[in-house]
Amino acid sequence: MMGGNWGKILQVDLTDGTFEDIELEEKLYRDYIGGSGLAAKWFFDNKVWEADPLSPENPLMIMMGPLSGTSLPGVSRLEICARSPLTGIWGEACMGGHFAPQLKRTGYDGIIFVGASEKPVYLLLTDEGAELKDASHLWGKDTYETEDLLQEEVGEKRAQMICIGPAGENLVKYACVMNDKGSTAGRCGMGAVMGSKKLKAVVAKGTKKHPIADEDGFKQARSEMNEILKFSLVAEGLGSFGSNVHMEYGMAIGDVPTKNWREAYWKDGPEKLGGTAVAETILTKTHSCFGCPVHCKRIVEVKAGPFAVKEGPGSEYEAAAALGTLQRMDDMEANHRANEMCNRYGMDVISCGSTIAYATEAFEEGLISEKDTDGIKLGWNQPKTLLELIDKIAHREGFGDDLAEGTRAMSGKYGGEEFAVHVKGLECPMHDPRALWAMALTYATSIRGACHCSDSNLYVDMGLLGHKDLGVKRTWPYKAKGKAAQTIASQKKGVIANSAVICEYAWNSAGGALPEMAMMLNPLTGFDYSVDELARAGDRIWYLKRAIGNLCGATREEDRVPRRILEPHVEGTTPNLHLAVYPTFMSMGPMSKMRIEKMKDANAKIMAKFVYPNLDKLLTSMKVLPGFRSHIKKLEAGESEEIKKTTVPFDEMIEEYYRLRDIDQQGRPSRKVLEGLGMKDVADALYG
Amino acid sequence: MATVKFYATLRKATGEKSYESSAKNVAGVLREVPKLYGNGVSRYLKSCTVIVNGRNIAYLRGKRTKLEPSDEVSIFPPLAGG
Repeated sequence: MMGGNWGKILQVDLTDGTFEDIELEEKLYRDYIGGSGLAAKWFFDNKVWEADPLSPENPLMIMMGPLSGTSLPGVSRLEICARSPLTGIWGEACMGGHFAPQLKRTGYDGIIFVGASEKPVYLLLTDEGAELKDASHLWGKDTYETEDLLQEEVGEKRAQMICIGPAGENLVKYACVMNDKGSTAGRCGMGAVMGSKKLKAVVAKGTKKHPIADEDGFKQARSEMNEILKFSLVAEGLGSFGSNVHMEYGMAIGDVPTKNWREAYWKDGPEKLGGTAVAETILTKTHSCFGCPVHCKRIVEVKAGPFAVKEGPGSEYEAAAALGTLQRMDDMEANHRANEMCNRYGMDVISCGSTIAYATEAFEEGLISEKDTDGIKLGWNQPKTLLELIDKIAHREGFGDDLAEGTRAMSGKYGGEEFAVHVKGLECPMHDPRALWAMALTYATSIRGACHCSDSNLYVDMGLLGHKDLGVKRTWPYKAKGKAAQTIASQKKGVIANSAVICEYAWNSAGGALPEMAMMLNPLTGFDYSVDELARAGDRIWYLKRAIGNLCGATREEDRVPRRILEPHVEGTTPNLHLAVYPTFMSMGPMSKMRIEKMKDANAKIMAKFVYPNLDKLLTSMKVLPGFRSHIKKLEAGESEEIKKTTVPFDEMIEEYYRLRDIDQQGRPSRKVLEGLGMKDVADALYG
Repeated sequence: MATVKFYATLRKATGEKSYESSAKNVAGVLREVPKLYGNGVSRYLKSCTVIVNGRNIAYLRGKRTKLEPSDEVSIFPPLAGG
């Protein structure tokens, strides 16, 4: 008998208030693992890709994987999936916290909501069964208030819940779903889907113990994972400073978007916003998802002042950047207050911050005026304006109604597409492809739009992980060759992580390799996955989600990353010298006039292709050579024509990616590759 | 003297934000740090990222990158977030 999973999901019809247990065959679990993989399979089989995302026909799927809710590290986690109201394609959002173990103990692998209720309701799911209860008294309450009230109402100390706030109720396109006040299913607007169904919350409290195929093997796997994490320096960093440990290092390598991705390097920002600064000032304690030893969550308090924050979850890295450096704002207290507001209202910090940053630049450019902004003068580093806009967005008030539609819709209305930084409508997370070239491919080809969590490229390009288990070479951050193969390997693993459902922090800190995934899955499920079978499952699920995107209308044209984040920064210079330039100058010895002329030409060609507009001492020493001095000064000042032509070589990388993935001119996976993965039905849907 | 700055868990392990070094190159700094702060910090230095004046040493001369007075050397242990 299969372990890890129950073999059934609960379908709730919110229109007529009925429930149905749906039994799924074991082969589906084997091939699609669980989580968003299984959700995608259900979505495709039920042919719902044409449903309007905010209509009753769009299913909201809350799915766990076999690892979810077990005693392994980093698995108090589930996926929330639907057609996204923000992008119009496949949407999924992963959530940690404390909800997944309780849901698992009710005897289901997931819940699928279809239809829509006329009045606000919440679902209560216990060992005794499912019940839809009136939530009118909760409608309008923020997520913190909702959790507290529901806890009291349900009267079960161990009950856990997920809920939406005013943003979800008001169908803000990037509304999210919350648990434990700081854990979010953040991206793609899953909170708006929930709001469109008048579903305020889901409460779960269960006691059933799910089967484990091989108890001893499972205990061994758990022990090994915990041992690896105990000595992982990456896990230690996360535990000590939270995900915001990335801020200072990120800025040092040019990875932290600043001032709507315009500014290359802002030294002060991370020193005031980063994890170390938080630990030394407003941090009160640390926190974790249920049973996780990484302990990456931060609890903060700002006791007084205009940006007071009640003791509660603090900014993760994405919030510190999106509501901080992206706004060119380094007020730590304001940043955490902004984060708290997004948590309470239930909004994705990345999309919210990005949309506000876009609007600020559009205002600066004269595309948006005070007439449009209810008289608010938008500008950089304006904490009070930031908080005012977050409030307006959540309630869709005035200009907030425009902002609630997201960056793609805003730029469609006001112009400025060139600085609307999104892919397929999903705003780019706070990692810069100009620092880590692989992120350009990751953003372009992730199945939900610009996303940094759907694959492990971020970790690989930072030199923390590799793909030896898949026989794929890791590449330098600034090398285009091999990036496509690296990205495909990273995507296989990311897809598996979101199907088995394990936190990338836990798994990647432990090496992020498929043998360890098999080590966990096999004793739990009783399957005998090999690395090859898992890799194949990773491909199958990725291609299925890609195909769903195509069926929803996505084409190859949308696999584009904005030029803003491929070309050199508009302001300032980046710290890093490109590897391609260094050997050229290292090879210089004493030179004749003729050789100097040849070097000038060679230099211009190299600079045009690779270099970022900043030179190290080795280049500045070349100033002593006649002819080079003024040239290098121009390069340093970013005025050189060669610098202006420099970009991340995206076109070269994406063409190689399409070739390896066998994607056609319309952006569809080929029939051959789909049928080879046992998906003839998907191929027929795409090609007729 | 170059200013050597510690970040994240390395800062926690050394108990210091920075110190002044007269080491001639990055390798000298990396030898010096455990001597000053104990062998317990060595594990953070094995796969660390070193940035000199904002430039990653991987793109300079690696650990042979020479240092001058007024240089700023930032040492990051392996870390990821975001």
